[in-house]
Amino acid sequence: MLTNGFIKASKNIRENRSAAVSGIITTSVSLVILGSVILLYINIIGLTQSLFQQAYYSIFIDADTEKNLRNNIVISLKVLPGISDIRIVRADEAREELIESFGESGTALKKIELPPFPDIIEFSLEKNTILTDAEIKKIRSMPGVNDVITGRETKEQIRTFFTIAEFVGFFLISLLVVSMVLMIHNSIQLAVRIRIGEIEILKTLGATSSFVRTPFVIEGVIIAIIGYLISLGVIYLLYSFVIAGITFNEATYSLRDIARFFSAGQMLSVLLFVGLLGFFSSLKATGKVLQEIKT
Amino acid sequence: MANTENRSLIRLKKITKSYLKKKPLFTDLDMQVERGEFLFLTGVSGAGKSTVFKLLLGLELPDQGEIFVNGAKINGLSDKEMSHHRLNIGVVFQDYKLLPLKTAEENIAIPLQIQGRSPSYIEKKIKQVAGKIDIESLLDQPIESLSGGEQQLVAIARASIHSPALILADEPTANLDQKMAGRIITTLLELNESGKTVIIATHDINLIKAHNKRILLIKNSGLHEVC
Repeated sequence: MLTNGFIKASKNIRENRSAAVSGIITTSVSLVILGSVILLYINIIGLTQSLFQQAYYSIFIDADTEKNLRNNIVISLKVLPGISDIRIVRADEAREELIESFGESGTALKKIELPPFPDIIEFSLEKNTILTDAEIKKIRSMPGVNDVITGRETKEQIRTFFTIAEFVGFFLISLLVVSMVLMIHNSIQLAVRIRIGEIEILKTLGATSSFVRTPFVIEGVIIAIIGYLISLGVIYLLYSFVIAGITFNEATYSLRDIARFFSAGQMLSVLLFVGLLGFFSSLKATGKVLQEIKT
Repeated sequence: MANTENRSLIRLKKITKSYLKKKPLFTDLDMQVERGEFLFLTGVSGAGKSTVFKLLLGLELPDQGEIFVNGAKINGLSDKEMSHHRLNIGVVFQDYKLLPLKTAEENIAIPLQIQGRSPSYIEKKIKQVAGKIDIESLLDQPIESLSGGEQQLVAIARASIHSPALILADEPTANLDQKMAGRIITTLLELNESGKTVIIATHDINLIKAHNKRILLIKNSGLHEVC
């Protein structure tokens, strides 16, 4: 019965091409909008998380500080909780790094007389570990330390902004999911309803309700799945295009490692959800039509 | 199907039927049709000829009374029982009621598909029925490309392919030219000769006069035998 239903459903889709195409387009467009917003959302969240994965600190060393004093500073840093990386950047290295970070435009900087750079000790702490004011004060008071740059305030503000954005995004996506579900549901219902005459004829000729329902339900699932696959292709193209567009230079190239597409599990879950949506929408629509014609 | 009555193919007992709050279409209508009969059901437009067919098919329910077809009471059948009941009746409509996007062959196959027959059996039966009605050349044609008469022949093929005991034809010759109307009636007469009971609903007096068959007239909310 299922095989027959599948054959009939495929035939029905070919015969009622305009209704099927309209259902597929509505499903695809709805899912492209929803998928793009969700992908943008998860990438922003991912980016935020990676930004705050580690807290970076820079200690500026006085120019005349001796090597053993520097080593003392490094040794005292090593006992800090959550410390993951300590690196000493010499003044000439810092200058080179600055010039390199400007890419091609950096060649112009080479010709400019830059003020002298201090030697820097850079270190980072693991996620959720932030130096306290007392700890920063203690580092500042060490002999040979000129200043400590924490950037903590800015990070706190950005973190607050993204936390709010996360909530707002989640709320908007929830609304979007509801409206998209209704849109796909209605479009599949419409594809069934415009064939009320056909259902009436089949019932008059002696078809049982399940005989009528099976091909329509399979048709609804096929429309939903085709719409989903098309939308997935479109979203992937958009994603590739956007990623290629925003990571064309060295400064943003590292975003390629952070940016991510939907995982196989996520894609399969949505496929299942969309398939079920097609199933229940057409089941409900056929049921309603059968009830209306009361035959 | 607990209630059965075995004598006649069709038995309507004291049927009352009205639509909304209008005057009843029938009051205490009785009707009996024996197996193998060919009869005309006539009356003015709106008298209730089509309603009798709808009642027999279970598409409408009577307000009062009982309907027996093939010995079984059809009031209150389940979906499966109703399907079984309808598959024992072939229906021909004035407006053909064919699926317009399908070919003649696909339309004719529907009752056998509902019965769950195999594709090879369906193919064999279609050839057989199409040969009898002489519509082999129409089989692969889309319904939309056929003339009214040709569509009606396809509808008759669909109504008879599953060998139902009863064929109901509701104004089957309306809108058709005389030659095609003659061919339709001849085909229905041939089906009757092969043992099927045929009831034709029509208000075409000339058609009725041209055949010496039993006539039932619906008039004044009742059914009258015309001699």
